[in-house]
Amino acid sequence: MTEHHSLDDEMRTEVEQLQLDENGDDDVDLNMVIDLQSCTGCGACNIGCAQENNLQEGVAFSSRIVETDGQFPNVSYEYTPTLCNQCEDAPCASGCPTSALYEGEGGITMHDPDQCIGCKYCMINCPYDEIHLHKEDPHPRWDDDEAVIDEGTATPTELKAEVGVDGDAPAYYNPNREVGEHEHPTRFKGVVEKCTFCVHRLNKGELPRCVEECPCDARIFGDRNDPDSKVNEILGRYNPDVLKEEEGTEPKVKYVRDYNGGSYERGKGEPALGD
Amino acid sequence: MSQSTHSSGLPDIEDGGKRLYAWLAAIAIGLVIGLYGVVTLFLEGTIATGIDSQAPWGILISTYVFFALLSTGICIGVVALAGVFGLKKYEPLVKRGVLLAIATLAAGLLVIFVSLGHQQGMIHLLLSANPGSPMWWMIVFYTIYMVALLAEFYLLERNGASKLSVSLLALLAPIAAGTTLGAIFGTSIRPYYADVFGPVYLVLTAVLSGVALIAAVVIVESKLAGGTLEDARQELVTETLGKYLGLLLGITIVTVAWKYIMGLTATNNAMAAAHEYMLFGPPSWWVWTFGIVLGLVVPFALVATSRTRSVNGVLAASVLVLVGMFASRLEYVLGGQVVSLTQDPSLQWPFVSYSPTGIEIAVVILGIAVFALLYTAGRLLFDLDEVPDHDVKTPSTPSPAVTGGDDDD
Repeated sequence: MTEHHSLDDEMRTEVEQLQLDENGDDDVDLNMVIDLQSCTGCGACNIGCAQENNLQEGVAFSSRIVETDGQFPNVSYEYTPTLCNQCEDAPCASGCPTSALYEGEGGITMHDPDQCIGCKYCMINCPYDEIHLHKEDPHPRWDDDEAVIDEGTATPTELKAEVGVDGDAPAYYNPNREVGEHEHPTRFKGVVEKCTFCVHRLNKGELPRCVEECPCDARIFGDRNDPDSKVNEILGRYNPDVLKEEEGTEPKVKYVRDYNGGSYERGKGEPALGD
Repeated sequence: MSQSTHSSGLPDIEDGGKRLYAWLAAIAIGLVIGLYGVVTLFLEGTIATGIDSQAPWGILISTYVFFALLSTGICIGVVALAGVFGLKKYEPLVKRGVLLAIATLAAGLLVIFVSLGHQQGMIHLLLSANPGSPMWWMIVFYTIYMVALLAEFYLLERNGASKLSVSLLALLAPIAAGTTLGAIFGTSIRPYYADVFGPVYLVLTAVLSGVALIAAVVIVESKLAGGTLEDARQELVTETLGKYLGLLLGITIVTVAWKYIMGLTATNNAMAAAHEYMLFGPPSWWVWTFGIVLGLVVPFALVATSRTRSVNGVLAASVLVLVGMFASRLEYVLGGQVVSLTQDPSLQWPFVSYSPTGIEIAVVILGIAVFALLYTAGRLLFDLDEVPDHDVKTPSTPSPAVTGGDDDD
């Protein structure tokens, strides 16, 4: 039986060998390349991310840009998956008055909720709308005694009792996020939060959840400083694009193989208007 | 005209009687409304406000900018003229100006403190300071400024005169703070904030609003006390402050016109779209009504015409300028955020709308009430009409005598 290595297996092996340092004192430069021709726009990344990070309604660390152009029936549709770009020159971090946003392990832009004062200046500075504000306590109806439909549905309290959840358990507790110093298993209102390439998974040698969820292998993740990494292989083969390159933020999320399925009738060298 | 007056011109506020109690009652109502807003905000979180991930800065930030720049403007535009540059005309306004600067800055700092999502983290402004952040520098400069103001007021109260070094600090710190505020907004992704133009615009309008506030307060105080202004004080209001206000309004109108023209005709899409949205989109009714017509054009007409540049005319102009600047601060803060940055189907596109909630308005009322409370307390506790000591008894000083009023104490 020949051994088959999937892309995920290869990348996971790379991640397992990473030597990450919580203070960013490592020689790792984590990058993600998104192959737009492989991406089908299924949204599994977004759902996986929301599950992994217990995201509140209205908050999405993994999202997408959708652009349509032209007039019907000549219409183009472009789908670009998005997440925090973990910018090399991160405007969110350079503007943060308390250094709550900083360059952490593997060059990831990390956020410490204890240091955050909730001034929201990072949200003003981020060109990509990738910093999210927690407007209220997580799962505010966790302790409610009111049913959505009276005598029709269970109240959250009844549900907790039924499935045997400790009544005092904090809402939205995610033990996965207990791994690192800089992520909290739950979250607090008033502070911001952002994608961290699932640093809690990286610390356990696992791939970011969106990478693992992608059914089309459209997300390639790894160390840019490792010449043999899968990321370098792809970046060496294609000329990558980044979002809003003109802002000079040097994103670490890069896009290759911009999908353009259309074609047009080419000119035949005949004199054009104005010739 | 049996009103007893201070020697320097203003009737004593205690003589206002019922008016004073009504004023204090209004402040108390404002405080109660404001505290309700603060408690709700702390309990429920920012969900009680109208802000969201695309418009994270709303009316609380603009109110902070309004108050902080009022304070900045009073110090640069009035107090420093006498305290640093020795212009005697403004000396009768120095002590009142310093108190007003303290009260406005305190109100502004309170509002922005309430607007923070996580005040517990503030110790990290010291523990893990980021000197690369303009936000951090603004906090440092405004702290230095507040200390300088308190020192100046203390010196004025104790010695009857400030020290040049303190006055100089109270001039330079707010200039640094006000321009840093411009740097905070001056991010290239939000060109409406006008990059390098921002700090200049903010400092200019700061002085405009500061002069308007001090003029309004001087006049309202005398009206509250039911007295008439004596000649010297009337001349100070109509000639000095009225014309000063007119000059500033003229410059501001031209500056704002250029700002809009440059914005609307810009090739940068975000810049042009933001200006179109603010001037011709949903916010246009209040931007034009309050920010431009009532806030700039009408007051300019009032103080530019000698017939209407009476005490009442200057009062009307000043109040209109203050109302207009409050609207303009909101316009400025929102203008940079109304153009959506990403075409994400779960976000607003192409424009971002924001409207303040009742809770936010309540916090704004708290700011106004705290300002009024601090100023009124200062007014009742200290003699604000004391003219700084140095060289006072020269003939050009408008008030004939400084101390020894007939009914002091």
